[in-house]
Amino acid sequence: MCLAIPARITAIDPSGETATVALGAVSKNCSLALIEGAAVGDYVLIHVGYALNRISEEEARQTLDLMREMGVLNDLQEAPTAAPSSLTL
Amino acid sequence: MTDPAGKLHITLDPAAVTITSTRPVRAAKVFVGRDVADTVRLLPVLFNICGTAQSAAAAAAIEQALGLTPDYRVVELRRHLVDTETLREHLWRILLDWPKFLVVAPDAAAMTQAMRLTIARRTALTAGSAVLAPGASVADSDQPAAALARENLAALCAERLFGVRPAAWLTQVDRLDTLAVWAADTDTVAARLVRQIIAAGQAGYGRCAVSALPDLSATDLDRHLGDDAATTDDFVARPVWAAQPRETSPLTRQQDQPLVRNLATDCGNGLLPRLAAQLTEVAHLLNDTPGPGVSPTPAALSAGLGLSQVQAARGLLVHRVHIHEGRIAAYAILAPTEWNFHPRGVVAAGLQQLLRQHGADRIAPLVRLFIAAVDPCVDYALNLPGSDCSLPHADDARNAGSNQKS
Repeated sequence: MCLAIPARITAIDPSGETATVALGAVSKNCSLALIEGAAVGDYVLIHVGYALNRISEEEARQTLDLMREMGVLNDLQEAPTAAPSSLTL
Repeated sequence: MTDPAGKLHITLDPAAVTITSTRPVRAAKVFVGRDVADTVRLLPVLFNICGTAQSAAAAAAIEQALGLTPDYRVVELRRHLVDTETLREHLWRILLDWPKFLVVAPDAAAMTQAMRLTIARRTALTAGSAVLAPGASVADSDQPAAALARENLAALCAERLFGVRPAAWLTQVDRLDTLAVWAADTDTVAARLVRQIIAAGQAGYGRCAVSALPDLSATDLDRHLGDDAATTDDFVARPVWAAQPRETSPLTRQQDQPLVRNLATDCGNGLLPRLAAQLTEVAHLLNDTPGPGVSPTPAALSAGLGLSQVQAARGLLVHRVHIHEGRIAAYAILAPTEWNFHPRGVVAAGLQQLLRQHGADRIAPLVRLFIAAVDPCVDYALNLPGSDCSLPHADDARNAGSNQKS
């Protein structure tokens, strides 16, 4: 099924075209071509190398909770748990 | 890290093309046991790719299961919203991904503008109303603002994609020779890619015999998506119809349009008709021409059952829900990627033919282009003849131009 993964922007390159995002201890680079005004600390949905859109911390938590319930985050032990205080992607 | 969205693994070998998938195709089961309100709230959070099509399909299925009949204006508005999302998805491919196959920079500025305009159109259409919720009332759309956003999108595409107004393109470009003239005279990425494919004699690359998914009734689909987990799980993972793999995509939606129909005469369902179908669909969406896929009349299913069919960007999206005493008893989603990337489907057969037509030498960029032309909506790893490991996507795209035949 077509899922995008919530992640938190940890760095943006000087050109503003790409960002580094983190899910738990895993970091990835992504394009910012599809969103405007992204900032470090924002939560975004990642899909095939693009940040799709900005989401709230609460939406990120809900999405990850559902993915965990589905069992697709089982091998990602470092991903945040449901407790909002621990959502430090 | 295993990608929670899953991945396709595609292996080309002269003897066979193998496609395996780790996509979580049974993900909708996470809603079983939840109440309807909770499901409606969470579904777009989880299925956020083509989220509008997913929400529209969910609303229609749940309304049927609850015995609700949506106002025709709500149905029409949902179609406009899904069409706007489809337009955005196609422009994403054409403006950001097609340039990689010409080894030029993506047109990020045009895509940024397209995103602004599709958001503006969506905002104007919904006017703050939750029109994608089951039982929604009619929204007081800002029609002038929605029309202006579409007009501005048409102007953007005239400049960065078609070189002429989309309506004029549809009139002028209706067969291979007029497509070739347009491609030769137009300096956009889309035209250059078409020009390159025609010049390289690759128009029919990937042509194969997999046929289009026929129109199916809700009753037909309900037999395969019922509460029996074993039957449904297999069908949503590897669907076939009449024992044959089928295709559902922009190509099958646009197959009766003049350009696509005429290209099929020489090129079948090969590479060029696929790209032409995407361009044709963009032009029609900008004209607000109703899609060729007619919404099927809801069949009389048993009480508590609902089944919807929505034409999403990449093909037919089906939702089937069973609601019992206010809670989800079963939920299944059948996505177009599972038809098109079936182990014996149009991509597997098309790549096998592509390998025969081109040979293994420097085939990687063509394979990537063919896959992009079908559009898997998910990341994939590729193993090619003679390669020791999966090819990285980005490196492949950078080398795309080196694969041309002259």
